[in-house]
Amino acid sequence: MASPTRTVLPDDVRDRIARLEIQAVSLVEGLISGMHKSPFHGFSVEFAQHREYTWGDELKHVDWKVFGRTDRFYVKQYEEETNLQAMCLVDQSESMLYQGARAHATKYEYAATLAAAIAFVLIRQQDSVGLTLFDEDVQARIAPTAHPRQLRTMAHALSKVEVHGESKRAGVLPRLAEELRRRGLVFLISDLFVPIEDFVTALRHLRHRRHEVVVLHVLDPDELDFPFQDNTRFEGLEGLPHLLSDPRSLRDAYLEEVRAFLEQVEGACTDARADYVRIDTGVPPAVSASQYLRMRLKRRKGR
Amino acid sequence: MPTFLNGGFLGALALVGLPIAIHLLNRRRFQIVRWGAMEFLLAANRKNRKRVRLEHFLVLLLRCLAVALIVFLVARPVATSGALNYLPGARDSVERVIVLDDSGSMGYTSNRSSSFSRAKGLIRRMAQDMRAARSGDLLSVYRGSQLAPDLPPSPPNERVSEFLTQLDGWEPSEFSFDAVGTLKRVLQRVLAGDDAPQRKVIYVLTDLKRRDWIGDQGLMPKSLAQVMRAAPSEDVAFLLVDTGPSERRNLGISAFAPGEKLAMEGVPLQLVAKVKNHGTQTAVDVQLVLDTGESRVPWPPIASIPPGGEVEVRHRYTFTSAGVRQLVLRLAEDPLALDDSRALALDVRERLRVLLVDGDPRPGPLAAETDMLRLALSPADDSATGVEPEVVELSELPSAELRSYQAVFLCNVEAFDPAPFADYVSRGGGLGLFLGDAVDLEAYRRDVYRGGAGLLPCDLGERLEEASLDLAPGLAVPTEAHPLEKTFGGEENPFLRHVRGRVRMSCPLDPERDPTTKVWLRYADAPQTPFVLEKPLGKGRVVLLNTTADLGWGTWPRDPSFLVSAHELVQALAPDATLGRNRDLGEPLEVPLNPALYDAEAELLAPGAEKPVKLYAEPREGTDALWLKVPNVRRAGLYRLRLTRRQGAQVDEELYALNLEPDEGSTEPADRARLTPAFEDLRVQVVSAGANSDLLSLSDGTKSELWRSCLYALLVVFLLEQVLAWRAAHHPPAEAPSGGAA
Repeated sequence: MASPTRTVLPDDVRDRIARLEIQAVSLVEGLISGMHKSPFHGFSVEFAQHREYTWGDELKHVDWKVFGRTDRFYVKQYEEETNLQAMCLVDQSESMLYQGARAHATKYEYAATLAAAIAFVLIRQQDSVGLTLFDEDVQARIAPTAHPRQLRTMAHALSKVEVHGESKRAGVLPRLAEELRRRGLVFLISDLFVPIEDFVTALRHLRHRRHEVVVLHVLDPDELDFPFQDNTRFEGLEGLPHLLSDPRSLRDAYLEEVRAFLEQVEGACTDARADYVRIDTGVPPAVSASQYLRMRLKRRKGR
Repeated sequence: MPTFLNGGFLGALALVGLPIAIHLLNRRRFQIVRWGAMEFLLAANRKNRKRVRLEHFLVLLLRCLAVALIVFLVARPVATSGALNYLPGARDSVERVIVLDDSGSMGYTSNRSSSFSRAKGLIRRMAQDMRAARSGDLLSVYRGSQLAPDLPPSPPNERVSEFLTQLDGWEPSEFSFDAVGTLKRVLQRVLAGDDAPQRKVIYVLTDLKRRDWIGDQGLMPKSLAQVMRAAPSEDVAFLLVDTGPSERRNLGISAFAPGEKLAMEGVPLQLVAKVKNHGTQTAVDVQLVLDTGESRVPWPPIASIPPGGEVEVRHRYTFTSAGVRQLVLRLAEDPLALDDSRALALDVRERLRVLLVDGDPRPGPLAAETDMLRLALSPADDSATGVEPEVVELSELPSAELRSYQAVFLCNVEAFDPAPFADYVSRGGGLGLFLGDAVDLEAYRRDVYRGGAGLLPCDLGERLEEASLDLAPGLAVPTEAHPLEKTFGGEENPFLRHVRGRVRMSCPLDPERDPTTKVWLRYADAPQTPFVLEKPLGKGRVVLLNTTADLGWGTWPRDPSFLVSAHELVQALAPDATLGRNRDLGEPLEVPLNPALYDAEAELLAPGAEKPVKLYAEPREGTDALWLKVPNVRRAGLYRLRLTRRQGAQVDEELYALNLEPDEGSTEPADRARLTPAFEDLRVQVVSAGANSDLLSLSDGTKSELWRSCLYALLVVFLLEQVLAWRAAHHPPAEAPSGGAA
């Protein structure tokens, strides 16, 4: 029987992430100084303690004096860096259950994989990461920690979730944002089929508390291009009514609605200076995860 | 308004509902998708519902229209509206001549519609369409049973409206349809018309019976083609329109007659009837009822009659009183009622009255010439022979009313005026001539034989005489059938030896002068001298007996065979019980009237008529008699002629039965494969008329057909449907939101 960790973080994803780390190492080795960059980083500059060098640490923080004395790599740890706290907010509402023919997994499974991947990377660099599962309410909460068991704990929580609730109830996202008081990195992984006002409000809250917000917008390819041909009865999830229609006749109008929705979401993210990443479940999760991390690395490099 | 060449296919218009049914079925067949992004879908639906519904409705409408157009294509619509006539290249005006077969078989009714009513419907529709088209065409109508046109060539105006009113009242006649004669007559009229349009279409509306169009010998198509060739083929087209039934189910009485010559009161009369099955299925348990006018006598049913088969049935009926009697044999009604009954008029006699003219009256027992004959016919012991002989002398002859006697015998009459006898015989009477020594041979040769034109069956020739009876010849064995056969038939017949003729005339037969004379019996002498000869004359016959009625020339009167032969002779000479009273419909009903006895004015009660019509007797050239002529005899059945006597104003009623030709009930259709080859070089089209057919479209061929328009319309509809379906179902490549991580 597969372990919960393996269920939510398949081997190929794990391998991909691992390769990413190796790539990062080689990058560090290839660059002369200070160019090794973690995709996630802390904010403080005050020295707190030494700790042994590990993958992902920037070379500029290596204490060469200690190395000279002990012939071992130690990095200088700063006040906040040790406390980089990341929180994955994963939507487990019913709409996340959808999986089209071209998708590799349901949106929830995909989101769980992404969350696990993020957690894996963060824990590897000894940052703390936590998890909140929500639908119309908060269903599970795992406090952030950098403990190596955290990945297993999170994977366990992600895999035993029964997806059924609604995410459409007004107020859940703002409330979640309200609850995240300690400044940190917030990953919102959802299809965002929530009232757009809630989303905007939540982003404002998070921004106000100076969180760095990354919105991973998980969508099925079917939801993006609506490929249905035959008469279809669309059964509304999360309490919405059903609709029997010829989907071909509604495709244009539907795509227009989706386009408008995406524009609103992206606009809100831009306004809140949040990272917006659209995730297509038709793309293998490993590719999506690595693409995102690569992009983030590239952006940091560009800074 | 368009009409259709293949109107039967219009039933397929029900398929118009097919796209709707498929649409509804499709709506019941759908996949179920649990959909997360429902809000967007609902919003899209909210905004587009009306448009989508309209598009769906239009697509459905176009698909239904496409089906309808395909059906129209197959049904081949033809435009008969006036608008078409104003198009460039519109045709010249046409004289449309309708020849309506109104024979009895057109009355064949199935599904409440007869062949005749279908034909009438076609005429009415054609007249109405012509009126609507205002094309300048002329319409004329002829019926097969009428000599004059029922509607002379007329533009479709008020006159046609009046004609249509008359048309409603038309019924099939009870005549046969003479296709050749009718077409010839109509063509003569049509081609003689100077003002009529040059182009003509002759429509013959008929049930296309084999009997009328192929004939028994199969020669009818050639005769028809010959008649049609009289018309210039570039201008005259023929259209034989079959309005006949699709199925055949008809029984008819093809014959009904007495099986015996005479009908006597109290004597059972054998009646013979034939019932024919004109249908395609075996008829079982066929019921026949004899209607005597006073009672209805059911006959035992006929177990079965195979298709095309004819069954003869014989039954006896006894008349209880003398006089002119009627009998009607009826079948149970079937689709063709016309041949379900057959009438018979009979002269039922109480006794046979025989006039014996004695040319050698002598007092004393058995001394007179006619004594032995009188005794033979009416024995002294008062046995009931049914024969009442009356003896007159030659001098009393003019005062005798010959018509009241069924037979007259002239016995050894020296000479006489043959004229009243010739009239008597020609009307059905029977005349027997016995010879004798008193006969003036020269007068007979001159006045009675008249070189073969007179009453005598042959020239009397020279007198042959034997010295004694012993030398006198007996009779030869008869070789041919004749009324005396029962008595003298057979080689060992003793009568042949016992009857001897000592004196006889040579009676040479001249085949040229006496072509109709038959010899019943001959003497057994060397030249085989005729003994009894018969000559038919008019409706009656003359029998010459080459001997005397007494024992003057031979031994016959004392031979037992004389007694029997005398009665057989009377039977043979007496007119048939049905004589002159039973005729086929179509024969003129003309009756001679004795002006000395009856008024010239008479009354006729036709079958089905409530009131009698008056008739006036008119003289006919070459005869002294007056004749009553019944015009326009169109119905089969019993006709009653009432004659008023000049003295006493007593009314005598004569009865005549007119019956349909036996085969008129046959509805067997003509085999078109045998009919059409004869018309190969002619513009003749043979078509069947469906319920939706109309004659204009049938005759105008493909010129005004709308199939091409239907095809274009269908293509346009298909194109529109595709565009609309594409628009409703397919979309231009929308700029779908790109997937994957940005």
